[in-house]
Amino acid sequence: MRYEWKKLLAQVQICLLLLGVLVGNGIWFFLRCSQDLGGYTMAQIRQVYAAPDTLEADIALLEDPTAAPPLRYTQRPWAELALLTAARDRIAAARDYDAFRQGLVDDAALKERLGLLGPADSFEARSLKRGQAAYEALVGVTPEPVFQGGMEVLLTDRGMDLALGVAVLAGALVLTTLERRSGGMVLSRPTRRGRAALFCRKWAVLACLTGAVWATLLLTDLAVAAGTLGLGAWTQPIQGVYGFEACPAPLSVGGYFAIYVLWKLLWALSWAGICLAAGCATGSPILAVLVLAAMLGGAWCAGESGDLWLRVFSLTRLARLEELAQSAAYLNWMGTPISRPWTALAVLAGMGILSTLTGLGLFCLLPAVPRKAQWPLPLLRGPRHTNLFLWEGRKLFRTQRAALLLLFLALTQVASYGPRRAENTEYGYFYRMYSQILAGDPSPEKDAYLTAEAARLEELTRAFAAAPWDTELYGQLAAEQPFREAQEQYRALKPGQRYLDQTLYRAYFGPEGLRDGLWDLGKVFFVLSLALAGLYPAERESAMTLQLTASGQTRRVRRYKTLWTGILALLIWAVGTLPRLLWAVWTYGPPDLLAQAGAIEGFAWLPGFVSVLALLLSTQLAGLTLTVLAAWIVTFFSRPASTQVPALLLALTVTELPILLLAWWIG
Amino acid sequence: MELCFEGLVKNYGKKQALKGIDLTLTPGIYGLLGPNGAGKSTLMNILTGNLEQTRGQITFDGRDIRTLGPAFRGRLGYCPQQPAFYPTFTADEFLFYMASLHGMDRKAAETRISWALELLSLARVRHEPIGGFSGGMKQRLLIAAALIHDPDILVLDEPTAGLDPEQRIAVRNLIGRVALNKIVILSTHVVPDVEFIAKELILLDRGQVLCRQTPEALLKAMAGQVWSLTVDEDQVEAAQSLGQVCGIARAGDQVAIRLLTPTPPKGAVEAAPTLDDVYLRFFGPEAGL
Ligand SMILES: Nc1ncnc2c1ncn2[C@@H]1O[C@H](COP(=O)(O)OP(=O)(O)O)[C@@H](O)[C@H]1O
Ligand SMILES: [Mg+2]
Repeated sequence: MRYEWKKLLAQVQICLLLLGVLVGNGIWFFLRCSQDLGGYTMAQIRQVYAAPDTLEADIALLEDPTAAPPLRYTQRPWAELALLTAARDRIAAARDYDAFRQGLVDDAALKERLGLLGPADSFEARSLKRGQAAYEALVGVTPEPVFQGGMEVLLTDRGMDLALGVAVLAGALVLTTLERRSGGMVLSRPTRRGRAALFCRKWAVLACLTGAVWATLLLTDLAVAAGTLGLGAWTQPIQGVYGFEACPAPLSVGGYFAIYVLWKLLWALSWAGICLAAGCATGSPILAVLVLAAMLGGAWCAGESGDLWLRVFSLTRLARLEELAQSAAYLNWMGTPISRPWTALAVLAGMGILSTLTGLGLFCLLPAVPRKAQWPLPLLRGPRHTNLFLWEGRKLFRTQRAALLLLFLALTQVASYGPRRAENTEYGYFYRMYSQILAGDPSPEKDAYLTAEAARLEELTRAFAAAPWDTELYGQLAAEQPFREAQEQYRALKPGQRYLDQTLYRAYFGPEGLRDGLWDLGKVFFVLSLALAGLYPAERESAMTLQLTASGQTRRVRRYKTLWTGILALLIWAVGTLPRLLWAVWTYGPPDLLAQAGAIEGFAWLPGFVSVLALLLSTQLAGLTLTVLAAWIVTFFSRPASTQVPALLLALTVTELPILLLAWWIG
Repeated sequence: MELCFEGLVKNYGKKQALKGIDLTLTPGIYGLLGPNGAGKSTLMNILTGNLEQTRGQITFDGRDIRTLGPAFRGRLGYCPQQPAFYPTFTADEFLFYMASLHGMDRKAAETRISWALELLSLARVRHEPIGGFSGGMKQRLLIAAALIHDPDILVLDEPTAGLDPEQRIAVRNLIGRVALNKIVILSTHVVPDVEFIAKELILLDRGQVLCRQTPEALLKAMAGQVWSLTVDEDQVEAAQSLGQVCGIARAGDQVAIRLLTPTPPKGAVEAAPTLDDVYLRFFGPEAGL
């Protein structure tokens, strides 16, 4: 056991990572607590709570445009109004809780009386009844309107989940993949029972680590919350915390918090079991992370689905305990409504136990030394050449699994963009129709066409006013709005600009396009980190640095590695980011490359000499630059690392964190 | 060809691993003999560039090897003490990789690799991944890797560790055969490894060269110091205090004790010294453990 601890903590980079995770979490939570919520902060709400008397009067003054706005907490009237309304909502939610609760009960009773939910033994009707009973039982719960902002932020914070997940993953990977890589398994514990005992020790170490990290995270957050927003009143019912009004369980804030602590611990332990199993199954940190990422992707998709059952089986969704507590929704078990929190608990525990047992089985049964079969055909045997550059490529693509990762990325991209179809709306159809006519340089014919079409539509409108029952006319009039847009766009063209059908550019540069682009970059960084982080430490893990130094070729090897890193970055960039462009062009037709890019929606600020081609090229170039920068960062962590796991995790964390933050920021 | 160690000092923090090594080596096999922790690997690591010395220098034909750089390293063959290879590579792939590291062309590599694999009886497993090899196979592969580019200087750090007696002898003979016109430095703490092939033995202890001699000279210096004493069983205790014991064997119902002492004990017969006796004399009884 002591040995396992030592193995874990002797890794300087792992300690750094853990420390970074803990500190990062503290900073993140501090920022969350002092975050701008739209002109105001949580701390300002707390101030309003301290002086509730003037609240209503102030709001009235602020809503009155003729009155002088009382600016007690902020500088701007709109921010002040937003702040006061937010505070009023919170105060009202607690003060009027009983009415709210009674409303839920009455609502259910009304629905039942009207028979809106089918026969009395249907699932809907029965779950409604259960919910009604739960809320009825809460009679007498009277939260006082005290400020609970600290708990409000803490209980719904996702930063801790991420930090905990990363720390647990780091521990699991070190414990399961390090020994096998360095061949230590051959020496230690060859019997099944011995290996089972070893696995149990590893599990115990990981569980301790999980508990310790969780405790630290929690204490940090509590301290930050106490320092910035206060911890509120823990004896109050949880229904007084904003967002928890509809909680159907008779819990105090303190009680809920205790459940929260245990729940997250269980969640982290389940995740630890899954990580251990993945590490034991693959024996390689790269493959383990790949498998886990695929699983998390699946879990995320399940969690985003509307189906409550799917959500209950999604590990990522299960981290959000508050969702289970904030409403009385039930799962449909063959017509019987069953409790969502209890089912989730069973699922979570089941996941943990099952994965740990799987890990145990794999650890005991898999051969200690991965003995690959011989290449079956002489032709398929490794190439026999003495080209060092190619050998370095082989190390990257086969030993470090860059080829597999590229394939994985390619499949992911095909899966995400392949089945995607153009959005077919009537509006879009007409807009494209007009755009096809107007596309290109403005001309007198187009002007004439626009005038004629405008006249025709006006005629139609008049005819429709006379005969509003005419569905055919109504159908034709659907062209009016799109026509207006196309016409306005045409009129707004500056000299030298050409009319561009915006559909393609909207799909590529619009908000959804940007979000997809961001995810693509995330995938690119992910694959890049996995493929490159181990490149240098692999030499040290295998002690091959001794041979390389002795041969005097270290520099040449490093140069080739750098070259291959560039090649790989280029490949990953191409595979990861080009599909989106290809999809857009494939779906909406080729762009007018030589037109001025200033005619694209949102790019009017571009000077006239920038063509669409230049714009597209420079966005691609920006993506490539970011990819190369990420490759550089990964190499930066990889170069000095003595083992792969910490380099891999550090690289992953540092490259993916900005993506996650940006994704969170743009929503 | 001349390899010189001049006042070589290596400190690990406060601990002095090498305390000023001065040696001049010319072609031939040198047995670097010393107990664990003597500094053998440290010396070799400095020679191969894997460690930086604290003081002193190593010169090759009069020039510091650090300034010679690749020109020197290319002529070096190195068999490290640790298993240093890629576990997922097959033996064949690994040797081709090493060949490309040494800038060999493909034809030459093919012949040399087949030769080395044959010589170290690895030809049968050449297409199997190294990760699945036994300890002895891995060790032999490392020796093969050190040999393929026909280096002028061969540095072998405990090359016979993990080999069975038969393979030990085979490897020893192999080294004896390929050593022609090479400077071979072979470190070991097992005397028979170098007994018959070494031109000279260098005895290293706690970072210092104790002595450097041909095996014959060493044996000669020991003449008159090894004695065989045959005593009854109950006298064994007493006899052991007469000198350093380097062997106890039963001889009929009596016990024959081999003693290392300059003054002949009473009733003892002079015995022919072996290199094991030399080792014991220099490194003491605890070195044998
Ligand atoms: N990296 C290191 N840090 C500190 N001390 C070391 C290190 N490597 C070796 N030593 C010490 O230096 C001495 C010589 O070690 P080494 O050269 O490996 O001996 P040998 O190869 O003869 O067994 C030993 O006492 C060892 O403990
Ligand atoms: Mg050694």
